[in-house]
Amino acid sequence: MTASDSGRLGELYRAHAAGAVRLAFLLTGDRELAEDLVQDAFVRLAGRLVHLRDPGAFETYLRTTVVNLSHSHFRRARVERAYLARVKATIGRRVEPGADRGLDDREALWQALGRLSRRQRAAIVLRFYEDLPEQEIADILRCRPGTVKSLVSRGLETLRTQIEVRTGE
Amino acid sequence: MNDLHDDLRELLRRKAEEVPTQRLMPRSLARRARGRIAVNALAVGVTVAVFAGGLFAGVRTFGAAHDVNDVDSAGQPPSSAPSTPPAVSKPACTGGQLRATGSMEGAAGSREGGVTLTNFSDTTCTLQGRPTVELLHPNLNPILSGITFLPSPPGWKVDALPKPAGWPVVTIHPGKAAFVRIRWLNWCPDGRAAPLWRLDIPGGGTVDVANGFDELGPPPCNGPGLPSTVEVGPFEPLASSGSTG
Repeated sequence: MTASDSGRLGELYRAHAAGAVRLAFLLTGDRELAEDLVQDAFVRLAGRLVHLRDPGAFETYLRTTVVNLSHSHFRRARVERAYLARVKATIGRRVEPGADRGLDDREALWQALGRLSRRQRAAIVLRFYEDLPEQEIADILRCRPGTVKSLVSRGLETLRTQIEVRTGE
Repeated sequence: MNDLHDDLRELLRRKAEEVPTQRLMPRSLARRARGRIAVNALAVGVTVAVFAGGLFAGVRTFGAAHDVNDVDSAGQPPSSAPSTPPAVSKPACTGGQLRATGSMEGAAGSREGGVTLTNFSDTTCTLQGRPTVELLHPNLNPILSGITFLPSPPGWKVDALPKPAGWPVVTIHPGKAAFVRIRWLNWCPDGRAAPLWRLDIPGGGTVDVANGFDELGPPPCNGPGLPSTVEVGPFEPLASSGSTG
């Protein structure tokens, strides 16, 4: 890697890493895992910088790579078990008696989000955090726009059901 | 419905804000990126090398097959140069520019030698490929059966000499000569009259072999009922001639 390549990668990292880590965090619910995924994504894309004609397209490539890497990580049972163990520990720490109701509701929704399938969660994060249109989400998830609509709809339905169950408790 | 959408947007925004925005690229990332680029470059290099090797092997295989199969249904070696024209600016030699003399030596029941083609014109010309050889009855009618023509390697290869410069294109300056290796076996029945030899030149025309083959006589009949075999090599420079490739 030449000095100019390294400098360019550094610039891209400063410009896009934070947003990518946030996306990865919302997809995985795990800060450390999100950091690792984004670094992996940058390493992957570093080899393609010379072919990148439109610098504006880097963010799209990065977003797609982060989503794909998060899916790959979740496919590995070992990582998934570790993630679930961390989530369990987090729930134990954060759901404390006396916490204010708004924070409690948000945590409940966050936990419910974490229980969605990874594709439903990705579709909802890309739709409600990244505000991407269905076609763009479909490109990232490699499916049809109709499938995206279904993933979002079913994900929302699951979230709603879980919130209602919790409210009724 | 909209409440849940708003709650989700608010939740995701708040959660995302837990991640700090300022960050510098870790040194380990630059190191890993360099490694990735090196691996990519290596993969590209290996791919190119494998492709080039395959292409080279394919071309060699095709060339070898071309050599072996360069015998038409009548058993004749090709009458013309390979399908691609010679990459030279000199014109192809024609039969009218050449004089052919033969020479043969006896060897284990066969006759080995060749035809020397001398350019007696005042124009430099080139030869490439193999001549078509015809054997003629003494009355000059062609012998149409009982002979199998096969391609043979050039003399320089048989003698384990280095490949002449410019080969397979052979450039013959005026007064200089090229050579075609001939190996001849099994002329039946014993005592059968020796044929006359004629070469079709790829650039056009024919040239008759003036003398030389009849000094030693034809090869013995080692396989009665079997065809005579004539192996014909490609044009090559005559070592003592000073012809150039």
